[in-house]
Amino acid sequence: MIKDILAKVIYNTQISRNYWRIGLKTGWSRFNPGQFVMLRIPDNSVLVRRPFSIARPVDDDAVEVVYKVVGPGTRVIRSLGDIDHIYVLGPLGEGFTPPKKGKKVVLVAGGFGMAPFLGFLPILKKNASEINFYYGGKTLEDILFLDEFRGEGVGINISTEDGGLGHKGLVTELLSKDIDNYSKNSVIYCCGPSGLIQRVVDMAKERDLEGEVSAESYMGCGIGVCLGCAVKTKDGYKKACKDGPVFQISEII
Amino acid sequence: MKPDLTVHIGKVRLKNPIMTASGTFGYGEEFNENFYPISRLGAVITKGISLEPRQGNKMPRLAETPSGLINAIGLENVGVEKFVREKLPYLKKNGATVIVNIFGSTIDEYARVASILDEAGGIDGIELNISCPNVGGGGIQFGTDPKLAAWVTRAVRKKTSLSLIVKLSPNVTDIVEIGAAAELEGADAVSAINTITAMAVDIKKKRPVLANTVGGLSGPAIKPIALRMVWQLAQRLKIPVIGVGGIMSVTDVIEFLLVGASAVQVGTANFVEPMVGERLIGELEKYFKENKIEKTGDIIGRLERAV
Repeated sequence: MIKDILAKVIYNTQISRNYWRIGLKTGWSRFNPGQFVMLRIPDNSVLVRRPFSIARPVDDDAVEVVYKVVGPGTRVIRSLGDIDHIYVLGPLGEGFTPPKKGKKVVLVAGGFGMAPFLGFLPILKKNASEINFYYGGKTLEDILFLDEFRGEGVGINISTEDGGLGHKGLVTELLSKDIDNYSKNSVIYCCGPSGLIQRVVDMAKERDLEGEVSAESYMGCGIGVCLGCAVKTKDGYKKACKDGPVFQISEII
Repeated sequence: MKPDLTVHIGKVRLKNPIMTASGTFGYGEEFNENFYPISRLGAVITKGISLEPRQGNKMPRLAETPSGLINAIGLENVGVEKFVREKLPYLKKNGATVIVNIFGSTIDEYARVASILDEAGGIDGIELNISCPNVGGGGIQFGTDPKLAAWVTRAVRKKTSLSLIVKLSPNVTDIVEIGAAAELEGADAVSAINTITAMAVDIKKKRPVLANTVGGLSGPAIKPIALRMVWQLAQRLKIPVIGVGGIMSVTDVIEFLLVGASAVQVGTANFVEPMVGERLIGELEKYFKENKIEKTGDIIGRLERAV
């Protein structure tokens, strides 16, 4: 069930130059990785709520959201401290489907698109025979939470467009070097900007690989009534907030 | 003593003046399942329904503006047949007062949808969205021409005895002229206003934000315009005027009632605060009690003259 909760801010911590993580005492902490919340900006300086992926649970009554400060709404969120409250609508949408036992898992992320993989990792480790993480960003500043994946038996492949860390270039270049290692027994999960999603979908379809992507979208209501977040699928327009944001690779055009 | 919030619009008895606006509430299911019983509302006005299903516009369909939202959804809907088969039963089963918003690209389409809904049974009223281009007659919006507005109202009036509300477009020089034409042709009420045609620009891409270039502006930014238009309509028309435009608080509701609205619709606020519909009903009851208002009729149109 979806609830709109006035959540206390537990912590609001900077990770790198533009990225922050905020702990929100929602009273709930159970969700499917890939689901998201809609935050209402507390000073009402902007009208529409903003969608954010849920990164991971905090204790049994809170969740963590990772966000990038990009505009007036996120600038207000950055200013919140642990005496503040914010309305959290969620959990929303459909999350990732856990892999079947023995599957080789491929994670592909761009920037803070990796946030849902934080909560997904413990679930993946239960069934995956191996996990390979392909993670790209514009610069070193966009590569977050590497320590959460190191030492967890995850193969890590990093790329930055300016070469500040790892391969210089795009994350899909790294993926395409290894793509022949992946086949029917693999499953790909991708989360990040639309350009990355489209390239991964195309690569996967070329090789008939299965998996899921989390579609980024502008949203209005977040609950499926305004029809403002349409995603083109092979069955017509679907709602990123209600039918997604996670879609099967085979569904995306 | 508990105040009486009931309002009558044509033959429909609304238990309170709070309705949800078309396009902001789906077909009721999401709100009923998660937030509050839709039977609490004065009425649920459904997403606009057309004869055939419509896919809607390309993305982006939304653009945020100061205190507002521009939408160019493109009237995406499941079509009247699927609505009657799949969406209407849910609304009835859950005790909602149902007003179905309809539109067409020709007069004939409006009439056919109205006919199908009239026969379906279980519907409490029809709201006509006339802010659509008359595709059959050069593309002029029905709602911008009093003759076209009269024609479409008359054509639908013939097909149904259900309470008929005509939703007026604000993108006109004289909304009262359009409202009067609808009244003359037998509309039981008018609702005002639909969205205001607007635009947003992305200077980085040097392109419109919306794929459709223009869309309809809603939200608190349009409330002053909506208030003025409802006031003008209520001065002139004998039929009830339903106020729509940027309502977020009980103060907003009272403002519309004072200028002459018999009931109101809450739209964009549903995205900001899903509980708003139920909250406003409770706050309105409280306001009436505190101000010793016994029934809604005692406050409608009670605006005093400016000194």
